Amino acid sequence: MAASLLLSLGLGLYPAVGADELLPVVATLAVLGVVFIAAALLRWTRLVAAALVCLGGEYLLTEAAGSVTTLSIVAYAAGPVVLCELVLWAAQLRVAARVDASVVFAWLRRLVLLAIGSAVLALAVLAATGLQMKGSLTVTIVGAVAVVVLVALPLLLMRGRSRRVR
Amino acid sequence: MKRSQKLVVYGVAAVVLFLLALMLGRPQLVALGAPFALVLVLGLSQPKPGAVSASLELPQARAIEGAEVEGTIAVHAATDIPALHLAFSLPRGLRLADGEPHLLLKLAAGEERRVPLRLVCDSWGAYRLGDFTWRTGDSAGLRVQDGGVRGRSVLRVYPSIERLRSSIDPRQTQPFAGNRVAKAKGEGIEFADVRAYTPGDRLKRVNWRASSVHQSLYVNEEHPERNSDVIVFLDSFAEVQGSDWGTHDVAVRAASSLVEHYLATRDRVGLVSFGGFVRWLAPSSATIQRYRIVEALLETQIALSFAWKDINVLPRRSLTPHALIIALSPLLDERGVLALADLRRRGFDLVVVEISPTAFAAGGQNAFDRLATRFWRLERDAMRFRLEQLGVTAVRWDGEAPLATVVEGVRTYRRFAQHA
Repeated sequence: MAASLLLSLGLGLYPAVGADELLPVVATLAVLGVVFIAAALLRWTRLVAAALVCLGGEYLLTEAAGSVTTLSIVAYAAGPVVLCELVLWAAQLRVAARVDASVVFAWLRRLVLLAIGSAVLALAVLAATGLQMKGSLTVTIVGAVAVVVLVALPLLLMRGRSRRVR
Repeated sequence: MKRSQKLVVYGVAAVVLFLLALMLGRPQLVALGAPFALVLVLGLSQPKPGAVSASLELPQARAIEGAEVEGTIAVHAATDIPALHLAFSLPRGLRLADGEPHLLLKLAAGEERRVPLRLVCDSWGAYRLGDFTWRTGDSAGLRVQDGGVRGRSVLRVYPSIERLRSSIDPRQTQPFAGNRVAKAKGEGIEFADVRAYTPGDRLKRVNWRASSVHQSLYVNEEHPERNSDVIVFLDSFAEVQGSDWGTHDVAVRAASSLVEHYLATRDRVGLVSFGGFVRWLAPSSATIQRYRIVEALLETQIALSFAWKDINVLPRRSLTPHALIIALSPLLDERGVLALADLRRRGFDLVVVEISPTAFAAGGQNAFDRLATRFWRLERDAMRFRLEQLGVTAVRWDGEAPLATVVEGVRTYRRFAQHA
């Protein structure tokens, strides 16, 4: 829980530091994000989605207002998903439980791999944005196809699994 | 199998971020959404969560109140279970000595995990144990499967017993051999009287000293050793329940102690549970009767009933003549009180131990509540007075003082009443 709160504070404060004119809006979003995370930790787990919206919106505003470094994008790409993992883990252990050490180690390993994977993926996305393609139409089509594939893949996986279950 | 909250949150996050990236033309948002999509793709490509079976194994089926019982939770998985959340519920009266009733485990395919646990038996009763609910998830926690297991283990927790050094002596004895000195004269050990010799008297009973003084034969008379019938009458119409215990708990503990004591002194003991359910055990002696009564006590419960009941519903053999009836009652229900009065009118030697419910009544917050409480207490005093007018020995017991003090109080009262 402490790690979740610290991370949400970090994710909330970092964009607010550089925001001059948008500071009131960014600060409000940051506070809301932290409050939603706290609420998700205490009882209402689904509020983590609202927290993501706030923190994401905050970052979006900062990013739109000024230039952000590649490092910050990479860190910010890994941050929300790690935050979600921490909040959901805390929600799972909301009731006091005897936890098998192997479960904790497996979860920690997954968390580290997820953070690294997210960073690598963010770098890959940023690298992809630097590619020179002929015409804006091609770029738009490729981007749209990529998004459709990324969204459709989990859905297809789910549908395939549920059919096999039947 | 169903979707977890995580799947919904990640799916929404990924879709929203990708759409925003497209609409606003900001590829940085794709970098934010891609990790969520990555988790979804990798997680959903993993095998779905499987089912598990769980059971509670208890090496012993019986325990005494306050004792600790060791058990084992056995969990078996047919497939790989990356995360199993197992929760087991314990009935009121039992608790874990240490640890938590929730487990988070990881199981390999075909693995059986055995988790030891220690239960503390706080209160008497017959408990069915081993109800489990479980939730398994895939390695990413995106899909979950819920299930439950209904327990079959039964643990009987016998009430704790207070060892009594003295007992309430019945006024009359039965014709069977026992440890009590009968009032009647006959063959025994305790000296009773000296009388003139009559033909048929045995020579060994001749009192030679008295015979020499009176110059004719005199023989000794003795009190024979007999047993008596004791019937524990449990009023189970109503009870007052506190946070930890109620009047019925106290009554059952007291009944258990009395039964233990009277059976140890070779008396015949019976049980009548008079309430929503009427149960009885005819008086008998020996160790097996102890177990019969304790088992019957475990199954007594307060059952709400509006049906009128009097002692005519009891079979004649459950209330043997000249028996001492010790009634344990909170005197809350009129039917129970009238049944006791009826027993006394039929000539039974009756002792009423009132398990006082007044300790549970705080007295109220406002003046009306306090007034109502006073009326209630006055009514109870009047009820007790009516019983005493019938010649019933009635004592009040709060359940916290030792039962021995109650027994001693009854003995003193009866001794005084006998001489008065």
